[in-house]
Amino acid sequence: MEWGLADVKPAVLAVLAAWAVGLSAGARASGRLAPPWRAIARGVVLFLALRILFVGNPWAWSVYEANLRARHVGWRQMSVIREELRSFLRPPRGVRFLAVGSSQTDALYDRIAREREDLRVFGLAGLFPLDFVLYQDRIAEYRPEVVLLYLSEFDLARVHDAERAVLAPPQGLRLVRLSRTVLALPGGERYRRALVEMAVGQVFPEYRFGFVFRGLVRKIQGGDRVEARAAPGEGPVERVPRDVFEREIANLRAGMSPEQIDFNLPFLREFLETCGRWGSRVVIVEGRLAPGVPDEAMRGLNARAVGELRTLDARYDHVVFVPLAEQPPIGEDEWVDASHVTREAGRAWAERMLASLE
Amino acid sequence: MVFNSLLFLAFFAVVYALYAGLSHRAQNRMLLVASYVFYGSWDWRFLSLILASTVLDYFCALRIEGVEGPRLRRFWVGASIAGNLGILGFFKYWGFFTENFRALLAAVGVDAPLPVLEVILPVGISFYTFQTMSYTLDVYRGEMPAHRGFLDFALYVSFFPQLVAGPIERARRLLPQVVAPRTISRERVIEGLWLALWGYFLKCFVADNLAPIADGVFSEAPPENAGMVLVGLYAFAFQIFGDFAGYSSIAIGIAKMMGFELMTNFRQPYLVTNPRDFWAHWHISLSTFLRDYLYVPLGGNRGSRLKTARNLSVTMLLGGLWHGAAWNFVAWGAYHGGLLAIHRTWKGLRGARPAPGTVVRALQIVAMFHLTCLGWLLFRATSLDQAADLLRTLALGSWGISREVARSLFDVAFFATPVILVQWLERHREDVSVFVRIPEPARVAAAVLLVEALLVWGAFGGKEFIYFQF
Repeated sequence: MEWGLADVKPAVLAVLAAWAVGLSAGARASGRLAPPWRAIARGVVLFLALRILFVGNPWAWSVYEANLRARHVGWRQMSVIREELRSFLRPPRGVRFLAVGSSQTDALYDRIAREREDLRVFGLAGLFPLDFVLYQDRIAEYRPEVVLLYLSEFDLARVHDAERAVLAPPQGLRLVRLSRTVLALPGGERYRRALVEMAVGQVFPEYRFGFVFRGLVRKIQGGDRVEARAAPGEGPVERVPRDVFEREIANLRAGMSPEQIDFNLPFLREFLETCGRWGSRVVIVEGRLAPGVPDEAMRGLNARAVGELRTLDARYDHVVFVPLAEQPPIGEDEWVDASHVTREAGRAWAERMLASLE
Repeated sequence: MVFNSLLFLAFFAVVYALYAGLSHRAQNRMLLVASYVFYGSWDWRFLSLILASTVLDYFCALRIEGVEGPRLRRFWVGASIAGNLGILGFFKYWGFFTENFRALLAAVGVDAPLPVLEVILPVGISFYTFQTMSYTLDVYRGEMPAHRGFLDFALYVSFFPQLVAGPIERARRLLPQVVAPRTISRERVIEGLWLALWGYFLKCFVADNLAPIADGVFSEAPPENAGMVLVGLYAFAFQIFGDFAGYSSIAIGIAKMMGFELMTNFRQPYLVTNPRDFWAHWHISLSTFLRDYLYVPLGGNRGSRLKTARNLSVTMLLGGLWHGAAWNFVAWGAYHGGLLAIHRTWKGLRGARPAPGTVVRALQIVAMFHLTCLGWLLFRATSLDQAADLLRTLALGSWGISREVARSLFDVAFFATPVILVQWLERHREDVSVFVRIPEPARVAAAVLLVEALLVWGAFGGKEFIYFQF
């Protein structure tokens, strides 16, 4: 990510300056205290200084973004690193379309977003409806006219990794309400530990971002955390071998449940309502998977998911649902793996899709 | 309720807040209730056992003191030993003995359908039964009077910081601290906090991060590379140290914060040069218990070399069996018994020698560490067959440094280095509370580094401590 000092939010610079002044004053003042308070005060100053140095400024995140890859930290974590860096920078102006979603969204819109000033992508690997709510403040900074969502049973019915919730930005007191909502929903108990970790992560960003430092050590060690596949945005993406493709299909089919749709829908509705309050319209484009992936059970989940999305279209004036039949086609040979299209296919599809929306 | 859980932190915060504001008598009553709540959090049914053990030894000790004549006194101490070992034997060893007895009968063609019982092993039973037994044995020997206050005695037995994984405290050391008013001084609180912080570091940073490497080696698909087996042993050596010494450090630290002084349980055990010193530095509370109540009564080293070797072997065999109802633990105990016997014999034959130089001493430390790791192979193996397989791989397998071996070795070095550094510092300064005594800037940096390491690398899954299974 290319950026300069002028791109940093003025508020960030002001906060950093305030921290610098505050910490130096704290260090000087601690010298006047009697032991053991002196040691405690110095410890607190050192702890906070390290926090600002390692996770509290854009330069540190720039270093992490430049030096880490998905194979060191994981797909979602790499997305989080980029998003954390971006959060220190001024949001782009004049964003007409903001594509929000998972790596599928990234695969579709990434190329064309580099050509159009009015289109931006807020893509995090594995992003799903609960994340829409957790990241809504970051999404709101773009002030988009239109929020583009790409949703199917892949997003609504898949059992998502609860541990990823820890990586979300601080929620403040909203975490209490969200926790109650999550735990009350079907399958929400799975998130109990993640919610506790989120609370710890809010107070201790070192805990939340521990994966960065573990990833740096892993890089030094020469080890990989996940399969050494490039994550979206990390360069050329090659078509996966047949055996990997088959494994992905099996995993996808095994990792879906109708209960998850009941879990995800309330958060999707909340996000849609929040978009409405911003004054943004929402276009929900029906998502799809590579041919041959859905079996009968997944087709059933797809029918339910599409039905729910149509209901949302009917319920909210600012929401439009675009089914598969109204979208540009994607060919059988245009898939990298079970759920992601090639960058070229994504660009072609997105260009026609945006033209139809305009 | 494990130490490395938010629930325990909340529990201790409440207990400590109450403790700080109560009178001495009320403190003891509150601690007793808290200890039973702590123990009952695992399984409320376990409470009946610890209560039974407490009542048994309380009354046995009073009878030992109250009766006339050695026969009756022997009867009551025998009742205590039989009762405690009976409880321990049933809950811990029933399955082991019936299974082996059945196998023995089957070997001679006798099919004996012995009762199969699904017996839950109460957590900490090996620790508190030994602790209460030491009390009656000390009363029997006249080393301390029987204590009349049942509630204070019950607190001695169930004191939650050291209840489930030690240190095994002698009554003549801990009971007076229960009975007498305690002071909460600022120095003790700070020292206690340091010990607890170091303990959490050992458990959550060292032990739980090395566990996957060790588990991989001792899995159903063990490696065929000898180097990987060795790295796995290194990983387990520091995992079990981090786990057990970490627990002890937390226990000692939180007890100290309440004004109790528990015994040191580990003193740089991987920096020793011979097997005898290892057992004077590893799980000191158990090794001294075995020495005072088994080895010495058997005759200790007062007889011939052969008798001494026998006494050592029996003590270490039973010490191994104490750790678990499985043949690999017996093998581990026998191995250390053999090492001790060989060392003793060799020392006797060699005679007095001047202290070795630095290089020789360093080599001795490395050699002893590897001998210890070999013992850990027997200890950690899931069966004797697995132990044999891994030994075979070590002896005959390939020693090529694959990428996996190099990465695992890097991980072991990364997580073990702070332990070695602190151990060396403790040895150099002859002080286990070394953090409290280093200069302030170093102390501040160390505290911040420990906390940062815990936040970034700490595994807080509430992974149980290894010694809970004993």
